Amino acid sequence: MTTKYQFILSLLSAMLAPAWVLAAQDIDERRPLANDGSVTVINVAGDITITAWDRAEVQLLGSLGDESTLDISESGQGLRIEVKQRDEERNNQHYESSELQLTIPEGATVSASGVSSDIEIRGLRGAAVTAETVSGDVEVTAHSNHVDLKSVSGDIGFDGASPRVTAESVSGDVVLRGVEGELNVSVVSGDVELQAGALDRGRFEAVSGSLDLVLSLRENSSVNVESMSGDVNVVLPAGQAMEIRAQTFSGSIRSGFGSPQKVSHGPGSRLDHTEAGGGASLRLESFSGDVEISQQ
Amino acid sequence: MRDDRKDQDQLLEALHRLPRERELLRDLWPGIAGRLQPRDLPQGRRWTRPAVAAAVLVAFMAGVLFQRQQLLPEPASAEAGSQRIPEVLAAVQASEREYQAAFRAFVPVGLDQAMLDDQAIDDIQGSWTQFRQAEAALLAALQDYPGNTFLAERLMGLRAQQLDFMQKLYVLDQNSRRNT
Repeated sequence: MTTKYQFILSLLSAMLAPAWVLAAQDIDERRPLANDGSVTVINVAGDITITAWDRAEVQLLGSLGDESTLDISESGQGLRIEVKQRDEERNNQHYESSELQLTIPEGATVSASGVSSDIEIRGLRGAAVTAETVSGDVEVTAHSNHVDLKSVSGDIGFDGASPRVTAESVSGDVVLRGVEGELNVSVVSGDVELQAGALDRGRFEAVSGSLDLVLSLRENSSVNVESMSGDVNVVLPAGQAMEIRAQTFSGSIRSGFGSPQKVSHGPGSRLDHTEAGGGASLRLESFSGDVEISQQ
Repeated sequence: MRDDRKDQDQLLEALHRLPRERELLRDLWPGIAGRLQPRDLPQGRRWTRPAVAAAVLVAFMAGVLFQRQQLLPEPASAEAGSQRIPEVLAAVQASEREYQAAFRAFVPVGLDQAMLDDQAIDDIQGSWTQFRQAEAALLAALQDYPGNTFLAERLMGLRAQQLDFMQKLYVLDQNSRRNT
C-alpha cells in the first residue's frame, strides 16, 4: 500500500513539475536533415561541439543546465537548436552551463553562436561555417566554401580548405591553415599566424598584435596588411611576381625583395619594388611595428 | 617645386581647419567601463536608447569605411601622396567627426556582465587600452608631422577599427538584452 502510494505521488510530482525541471537531464535527440540542410545552434553558456557524419540526420547529445530548456525547431531545410534560460534565472543574471554535442550531415551549413562558450567544429564540407562567441575559443576543421569565425577574447583556429575565410578576434590569437582565395583577418591585441595557399584578395588588420603570414599571391591579386604597433612578417615564394609597397613610420623594414629606403620627407622607411614583372599587389603598412618580407 | 609649395600651403591651411577636440586624448575607457556595469534603468529606457545608438553607429561605420575604401586602392607612394593631400585631409576630417559622434551615441550601451567572465571583461578593457595607446601615439605623431598622409590614413584605419570595436560591444549588448 505504501509503495503504491509513493508511486502515485511520484507520478503526480512528475506530471505537475514545470518544464524546466523535466528538462534538467541529459540530452539525446535525433532529427532528420538533408545533407545540404542547415543547422543553427545557440547556446549562451557552455560548449558547442559539432562533428560530421554521412547520415541524413542530426544527433544531439549533451547535458542541459538545471535552469535551462532546449528549443528545437524545424523549418524547410533547416534545423534550429537553442538553449534557453528560464525567466527567473535571466532576471537574476545567472546562467547555467549546457553542453551540446552535435553530429550533423557533412554537407550541412552550420551556424553556431554562444557567449561564454567554446565552439569546436570538425569535418564539415558544407557551403558555409559560421561560429561566433565572446569569451570562448573557436576551433574549426572544415572544407567549406565560406568560413566566418569570430570571438572577442577567445582564440580562433582554422585548419582545412576554404576559398573565403573571415576571422576576427579582439584579444585572442588567430591561427589559420589551408586557406586560399579571399581572406579577411582582424585582431586588436591578439597575434595572427597564417599558413595560406594562393590568395586572390586579403586584408589583415592588427593594432598591437603581430602578423606572421606565409602566403603566395595569384596574378592580379591584392593583399593589404595594416598594423599599428605590432610587427608584420610576410613570407612569400622566391620569385613571386608582385608589386610591393611597404611603409612604416617609426619601425624598420627588412626585405628579401628590393631595398627599403628612408622616406624623403619626415621619418620612416618605405619599400617600392616590382618583382618578376609585377601583377599582384602587396601593401604592408605599420605605424611603429617592424615589417619583414622574406622569401621561402 | 612650386606645385609642392602650393600643396604644402594648402595642406597647412586645411590642417588649421581640422577639429582640435581635446576629448580625443582623454581616457575613454572609464566611460565604457561604466556602461559595462549593470544598471537599474527603467525598462523602456533600456530598450529605446540602444536602438537609437544602433542606427547611429551603423550609419557612422558605413560612412568611415566607405571613405577608406575610396582611398585605399591608391598607391601610398610619396608622389601620389602629395597629390592626394586634400582628399586625405577631407576624409580624416570626416572620419574624426564621425568617430566623435559615434562615441557620443555609444553612451547608452550597457552589457549584461553575468554573460561575461572577469577575464573577458579584462580582455575588453585591455584591448581598449591598446586602442587608446595607439590613438595617443598617432595623434602625437600627427602633431609633429601634420602633413603626413601615411599617418592620416593610419588614423582613419584606427578609427574604423575603434568603431568596429564599439559596434561589437553594441551587438554583444543587444544579444545580451535579447537573451534576458
